[in-house]
Amino acid sequence: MPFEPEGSDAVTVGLSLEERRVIRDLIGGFRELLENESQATDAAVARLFPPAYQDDPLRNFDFDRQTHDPLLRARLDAISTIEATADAETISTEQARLWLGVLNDLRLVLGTRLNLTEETSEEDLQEKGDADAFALYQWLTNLVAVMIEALELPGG
Amino acid sequence: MVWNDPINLMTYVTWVFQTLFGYPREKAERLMWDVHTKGKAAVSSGPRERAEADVAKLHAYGLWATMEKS
Repeated sequence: MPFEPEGSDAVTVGLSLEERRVIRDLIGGFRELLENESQATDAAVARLFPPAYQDDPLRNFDFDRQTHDPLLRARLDAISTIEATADAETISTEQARLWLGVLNDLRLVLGTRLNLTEETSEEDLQEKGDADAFALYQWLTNLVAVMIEALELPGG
Repeated sequence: MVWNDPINLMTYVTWVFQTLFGYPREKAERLMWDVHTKGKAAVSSGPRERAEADVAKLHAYGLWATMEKS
């Protein structure tokens, strides 16, 4: 398993060297995206910083002014955590939560790029030449699903 | 208000509701199902400032959340 709970406050990371390399490449690209693009210039960034007020541009401007920078900072910090622990065999639960957030962000970016909807089929993506990107997306989906299980909260 | 989206996993949305709001699994799952089947669900309410803070936290987790007047 890529991620398994170890006691109550740690997660064992069972990723291969190749998988760790892919993750490092992906988060490097993600950092560049966040540092160079904005909601206005990139649909995937817009997905990560959605408007809080859909019909009130003025209120939304205020909301964005207050929340955008802290939110961006939190995402960049989470990326740094993964970069620092990409080779680790064990990570803390707190670090695992940050891993989960970034892995999920990567799915959001890739899924937005692929224009995924509830109706998208694998055949559609193959026709558009997106099969490789979709395979990567599905790999991330599995990592997210397994990490959620590793972090499963009590009370279920 | 959290809106349905085609990317976030149902288990992920449930996990976020539990982690962020401390909801028990059953309540988090019920809200997740509302989002999934009805397209949206009110997951938290309160005065504007607190609701805005919750929306920002949901954005940090990659959920598509908006403010709505009740």
